[in-house]
Amino acid sequence: MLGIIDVREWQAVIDLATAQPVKRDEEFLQPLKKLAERFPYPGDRDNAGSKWTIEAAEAVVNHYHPGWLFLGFTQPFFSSTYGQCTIETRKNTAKIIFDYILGFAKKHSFYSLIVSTGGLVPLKGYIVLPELKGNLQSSAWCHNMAGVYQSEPGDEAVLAQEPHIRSIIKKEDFAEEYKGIDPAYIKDFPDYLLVAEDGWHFKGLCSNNRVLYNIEKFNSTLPVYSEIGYPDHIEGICSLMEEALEQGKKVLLAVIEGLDEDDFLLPYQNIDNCRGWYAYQGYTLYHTLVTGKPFYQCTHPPIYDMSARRKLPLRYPMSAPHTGTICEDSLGRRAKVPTAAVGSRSITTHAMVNADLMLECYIRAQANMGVLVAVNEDRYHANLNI
Amino acid sequence: MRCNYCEWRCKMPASVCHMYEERDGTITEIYPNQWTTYYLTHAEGIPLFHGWPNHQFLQIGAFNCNASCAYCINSRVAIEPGRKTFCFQLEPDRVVKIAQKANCMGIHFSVNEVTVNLPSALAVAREAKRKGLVVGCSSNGYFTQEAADMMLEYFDFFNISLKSLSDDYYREHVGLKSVTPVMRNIEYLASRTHLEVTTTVVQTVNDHEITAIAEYLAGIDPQMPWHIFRLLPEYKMKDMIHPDIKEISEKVKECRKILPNTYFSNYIGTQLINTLCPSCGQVLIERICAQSCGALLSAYNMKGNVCPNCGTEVKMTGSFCDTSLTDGREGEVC
Repeated sequence: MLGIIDVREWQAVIDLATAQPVKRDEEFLQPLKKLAERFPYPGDRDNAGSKWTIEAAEAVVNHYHPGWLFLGFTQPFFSSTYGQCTIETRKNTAKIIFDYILGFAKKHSFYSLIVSTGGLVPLKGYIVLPELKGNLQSSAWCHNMAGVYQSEPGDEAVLAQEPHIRSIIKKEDFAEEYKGIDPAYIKDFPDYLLVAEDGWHFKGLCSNNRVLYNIEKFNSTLPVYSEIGYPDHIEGICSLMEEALEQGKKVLLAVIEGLDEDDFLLPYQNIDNCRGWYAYQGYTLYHTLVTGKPFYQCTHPPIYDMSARRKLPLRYPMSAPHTGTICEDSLGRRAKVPTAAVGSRSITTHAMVNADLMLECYIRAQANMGVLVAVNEDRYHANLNI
Repeated sequence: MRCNYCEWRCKMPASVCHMYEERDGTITEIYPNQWTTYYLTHAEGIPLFHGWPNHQFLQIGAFNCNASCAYCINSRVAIEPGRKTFCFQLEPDRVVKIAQKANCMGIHFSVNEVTVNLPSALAVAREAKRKGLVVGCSSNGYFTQEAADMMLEYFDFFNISLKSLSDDYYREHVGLKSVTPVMRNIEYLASRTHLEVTTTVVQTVNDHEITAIAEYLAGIDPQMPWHIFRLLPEYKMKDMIHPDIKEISEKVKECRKILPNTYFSNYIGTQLINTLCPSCGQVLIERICAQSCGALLSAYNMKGNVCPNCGTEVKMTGSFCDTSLTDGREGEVC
């Protein structure tokens, strides 16, 4: 996958598999470089971020004419997570985004399917577990989940005494329940995977050190608006889109992060979002939306071992710094029509959606490092030639 | 009574960092063993380009600072919230155990200025050395000679931030009285431990000093690793323009003639983070910039610390952690 990074005053062309700069100056790169230059990312915290997605999408569609398009909106999530966001502000934000999507879909004759990643809840407190002998690892993606690695005898009893843990999944039990899954997935799976009760945030190795106001909750259902029918389960959305594409329809999948059903201003259905103890969130939700596969067939577990050393030479170090694996079987990669994506969830857009042509903000550790245009050359050239 | 950890030498009970008090005739930490964050990085992410290549480190930090950089990228823990920030209470043996379990070669004090919680950092360092770990810090270098000696007893490396050579710059943009103590400490540490220096470039404010700083550092150690950091200003300077990469790259290339181990980072696609042989120009260590800070090692082409092409010796402390033979998820320590 080829990437063009634009940091406002400078551009580089990169092989995303190695993250090494490459010397490429073919003619086809010129419009892609201009695309990166035209859309500097304004940030996640106000409506400019949502406007960025829709305006960039306009440029992508006019250039590439995709039959399947992914759009990602994150402003409701970041506004509520890192600041106080009133209900009125969130509803106003939601209205702006819905209007953008529906207006865009109508203009370009897309059938829309809009999924919210679910609502947030006010932070109630922290789960720290100082008596654990193993390492408690959390992540900035899923504040309500954590894993215990390198556990020792006695740790299970410590976990059992914590009143705000909703589920404790033992690695052996998980491996027993889901026989036949990728051994690398099991290797990365924590000794104990933990899900907190709503409002409780795990604090440990690699957890987010910023002040949070609201965090993710266990969303057993997600609100979905669809013009191509409704599935029974969130895992069915991908096949629904495939069927619509087979019928010759152009399909737009929009993901809006951080909206609850009360904020969902369009007619919607609540779709089952659970697999037993697990409710889809974070990158596994993106993964299942674009592959139709359950969470245990994702590129890595919901919490993965960040202390594991990665093999040299590194693979996809910009895209999947801890796992080296991107989603290779997404609808973006396998649809029979040209595919494209614009998203403000940074590397998730190309690492999970993996369309022919993608434009995303490149944010690392919440520092705005620029924008990235990513292109899968094989499909991109073939489709442009058609 | 005056605090002797940093060059403010505050007269108690007032202290610039709000982290110490006088208790029974000694300067005492108000919040011992309290840390706001601990996470994982590798030597290149610190950045440490000439020490312990590709090894993993536990980065740990507390809160508050003795400086008040107008562009601070960690102001939420270093300057603004102070005690509002969540803190872990972690005793030294627990910190070391976490590092060992997480396959770390060492511990790196970072996030905020280490001298504002120095007794806790020294306690961790003492325990880490006892367990055979490497220890070091990133610091603004505004510490006293006494503090330098305390740290040298346990610390194996330092990355000192030299923000300018001008007192005016330090007073106006860093909130410190003078650069003199920082320069004194760089000169003192250079001959006693592994030292790398970092300079954050703020366009139109200190970019004109790049060559002068290179000359200054080369006068101390011609192989001194120097990291020029493309700063995306935050906090009070968040509206400043971003550094001009082309312009600074040209200056860095010129600097490499004076100080070969000069690097320019914090933007994706930079090739000015590779280590070249100062004699024949061969690429000895390849790195990529994929994150907001530091780099990742992608290839180590030296034999030990020697150029395989011409035999020139290159400054390098510690051995290379070769993960090319692992399956990538084994979690083994080099």
